[in-house]
Amino acid sequence: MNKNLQFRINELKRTLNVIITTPLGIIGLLIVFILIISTIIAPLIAPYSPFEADFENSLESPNLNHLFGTDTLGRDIFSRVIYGSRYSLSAGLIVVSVAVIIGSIVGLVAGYPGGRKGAWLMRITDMFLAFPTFVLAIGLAANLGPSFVNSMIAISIVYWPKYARLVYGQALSIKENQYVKYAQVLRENNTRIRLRHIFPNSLAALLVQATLDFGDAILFFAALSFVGLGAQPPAPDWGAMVSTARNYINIAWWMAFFPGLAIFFVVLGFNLIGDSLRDALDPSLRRLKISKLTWLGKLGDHLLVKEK
Amino acid sequence: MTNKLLEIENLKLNFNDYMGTVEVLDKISFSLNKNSWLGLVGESGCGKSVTAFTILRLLPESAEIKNGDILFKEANILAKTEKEMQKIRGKEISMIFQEPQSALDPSMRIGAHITETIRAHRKINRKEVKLQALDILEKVEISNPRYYLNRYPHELSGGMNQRVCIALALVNDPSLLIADEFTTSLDVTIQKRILELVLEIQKLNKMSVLFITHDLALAHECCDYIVVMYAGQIVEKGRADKVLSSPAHPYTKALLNSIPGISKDVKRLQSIDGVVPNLIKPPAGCRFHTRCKHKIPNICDKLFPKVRHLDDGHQAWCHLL
Amino acid sequence: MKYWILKRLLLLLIVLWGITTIVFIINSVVPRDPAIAMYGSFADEEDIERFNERWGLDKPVWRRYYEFYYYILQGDLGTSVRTERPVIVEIKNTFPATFELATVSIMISFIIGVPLGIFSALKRNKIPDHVTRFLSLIGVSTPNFWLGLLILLVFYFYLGGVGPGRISSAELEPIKITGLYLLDSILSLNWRSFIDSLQHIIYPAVALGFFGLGIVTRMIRSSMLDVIRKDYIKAARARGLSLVGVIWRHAIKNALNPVITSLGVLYGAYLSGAIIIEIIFAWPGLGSFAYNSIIKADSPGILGYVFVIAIFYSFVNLIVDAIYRLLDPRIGFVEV
Repeated sequence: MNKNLQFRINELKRTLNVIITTPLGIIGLLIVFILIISTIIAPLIAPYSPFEADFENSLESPNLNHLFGTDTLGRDIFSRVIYGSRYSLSAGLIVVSVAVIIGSIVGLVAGYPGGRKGAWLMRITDMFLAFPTFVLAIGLAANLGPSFVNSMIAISIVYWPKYARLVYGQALSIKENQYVKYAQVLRENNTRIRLRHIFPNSLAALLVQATLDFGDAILFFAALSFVGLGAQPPAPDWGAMVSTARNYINIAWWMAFFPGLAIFFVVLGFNLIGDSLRDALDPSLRRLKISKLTWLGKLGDHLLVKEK
Repeated sequence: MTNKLLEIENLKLNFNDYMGTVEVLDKISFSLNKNSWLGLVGESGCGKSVTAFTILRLLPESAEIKNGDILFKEANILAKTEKEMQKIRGKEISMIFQEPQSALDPSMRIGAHITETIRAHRKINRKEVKLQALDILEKVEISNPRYYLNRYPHELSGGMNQRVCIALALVNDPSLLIADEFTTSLDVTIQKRILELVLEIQKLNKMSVLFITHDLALAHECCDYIVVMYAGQIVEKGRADKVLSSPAHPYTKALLNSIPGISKDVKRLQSIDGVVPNLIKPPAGCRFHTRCKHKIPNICDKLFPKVRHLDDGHQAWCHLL
Repeated sequence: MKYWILKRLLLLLIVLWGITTIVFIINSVVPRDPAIAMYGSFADEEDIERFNERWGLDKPVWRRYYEFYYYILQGDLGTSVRTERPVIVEIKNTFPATFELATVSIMISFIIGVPLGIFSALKRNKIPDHVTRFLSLIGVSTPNFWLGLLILLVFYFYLGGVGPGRISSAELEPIKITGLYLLDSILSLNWRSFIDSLQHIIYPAVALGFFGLGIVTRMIRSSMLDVIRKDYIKAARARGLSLVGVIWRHAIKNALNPVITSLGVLYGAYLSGAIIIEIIFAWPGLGSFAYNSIIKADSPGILGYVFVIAIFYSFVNLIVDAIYRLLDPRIGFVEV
């Protein structure tokens, strides 16, 4: 079993390799890299404090002193945008991680040993999917109270069913494999089988989906913040910044433009990575050499849920 | 007025792929007479289907005809415009395929398929079209055709679908039918019946059939002439009974040896060692030399053999003759 | 087929029960005190008590659950704490506007997206394809509120187009037949009203529909590429059909199938995303109502919003599922 896991880790490494060689993938990685860096070293690159008000210089259009201009309180927008990366990145990370964890647990429990109990669990999960996601998140976040943490909870609750379904589907096909049957013969208990065999083998599909969803999650959080349910002012969160800038759009366009632009670029970056990842796993691409095609094809096969 | 319906002369075809230039067809020459049945025989990948698509001019964009002529009813196919080809396809030359169910649009009823094919080539009113559709379904031995007109392809069995495809191919009374492995995916019991059906129709309509197959036994059943292909080249051709009873080329011999029952003195089934060569850099000289047991070093791997004329139109390309 | 409809409706009822229960649970978990939100942090004890009593917030949970269903089945979604009118009335008044907006946006996404996707697939890997793919990538990466604000800025302020809202003045409002201005103005042959409504709806609809445009284009492109590779396409050409004819009659029909299912999801996304666009463009729809409810912590209002959208969404999915089965003869009505 360990060899199997090792094999798949190697396959993942090679997939990463392919992303790096695609031009759009490189751009995506670059953007995300910049995002992560600016999150970490924000205090170093931001010329001003994001909270420091300076009423004399309020509502200045972009100039050399303030690259992105200033807002109604005279705060430097460039600095606020840089600090805002922290909110977006952490939002994406937290939401996707929590949703993946909860979803995996539910999916594993429902998928193995499966059967009718599992199917019923999935039916309940599907009920969550009967809601349009944003509306449900609004309902949850509005009632929990507007705050960053509460929006994280709300979005995670809305996101987990998708991963539960994915892991469930994976579990259904993985449990037909030989090594699972051996484990059953050896009387390993359910939890052990789930953790040692089923989950690691669904990891690949899970990670691909999570990566593809990262950009979406950030967009989702930004929208919630815009409606007033996520990060609250005066926090330099991009969505919240656009929200407050709404009323001044015609006199200070830069207040809304630059935070929104930041959201756009970041989401674009993640989507580019996601796209080249998806292309890399498409076994029908003829532009790669045959040797790469065969193992990509195998990887692609493993990632597709097999219909019985 | 010649007796030749189809003449292919010295056809050379390449595919320009990302991986390089694939020399798919080389020096392909053969002709097909009216009211006769020619078998194009060879392994998978030797270029038989590609030849068929070249005749119909349905090649992918990466294809490049380097050389050669294809004369159909004494007119050069390769010089025709797309519009002219559309008049020929489905009317003068028809084609049936290996997988009948894939060849039909799953969202369209059988009747609609037939109607579409008829109206693509002739102007007739609805009533007449329906009558002809029922008529052609009866000709391919589908009983109760009225019922099947309104069915979808997935509601029919493989054999029924193949009959439908044959109906579609014949409804406009073509002079040439290209049959690309059309029995391969059918049950053995049905295979024979379908083959006999096409044989009957061929004799009735005095149609010519270009039968593509890898199965020499089937070829033996119905072909007047046989062309044996290997790796994009013709290695032997001639009258069917001649080629199959006294094969000249080592490849043909090997093929016959790998079939039980046709060859006379066979004690064990023999397979052919090796694999089909990569056509991006095809082997020099005779392309079969990499697998030939009787290869003459320095000749077979350097020079392409000149044609050897054996008796009565029987030709082979081999240094050993 | 009738059997299937019955089965599906039964399933729908179960789902609706699930939805309403979830909505109720959301409602019960209310750390945020609406009384304080209403009166501000300086409200005194008496006011809060009176408030809670009036709105029934002091009763135990299971009693409220029972009453919840009791009222819902009568069509009573409670009374808005903010406007003091029945929630159901507010929703009835504002829903047509949102419905109209979402529908026009879907139309934009599909009317532009489908041909674009087909075009992109046919010119695969050539310049038009790359441009289209790039545009759709931009489409799914752009935050719709940002796009909405930019459109607002350019077309409303800089270029001096129309004003905010659905119509320029009350006089231009068409006679109320369906509540959908575009439809009503056509039905009453009021061309001025139609033009004005159109001018007002086009900007928010584009802002809302841009995201879906990207999705639809990509999906159609992928579906077309799959279909073009199929054997029956080649077989059709071998029967003498022209390339255009084959694409039109065979490829497109089969490529459209998987896209129909996404229609339902997209509709839900637009109904949800409408709240953002309505805020920006001052569109008097359900979204604006929801936003105002959020600001004022109007629980019944928020709940009514979630409830109505969820139910509508379920019905849309049912209809989409039926259409899908109708179009694809391979999938009958037997399976659920």
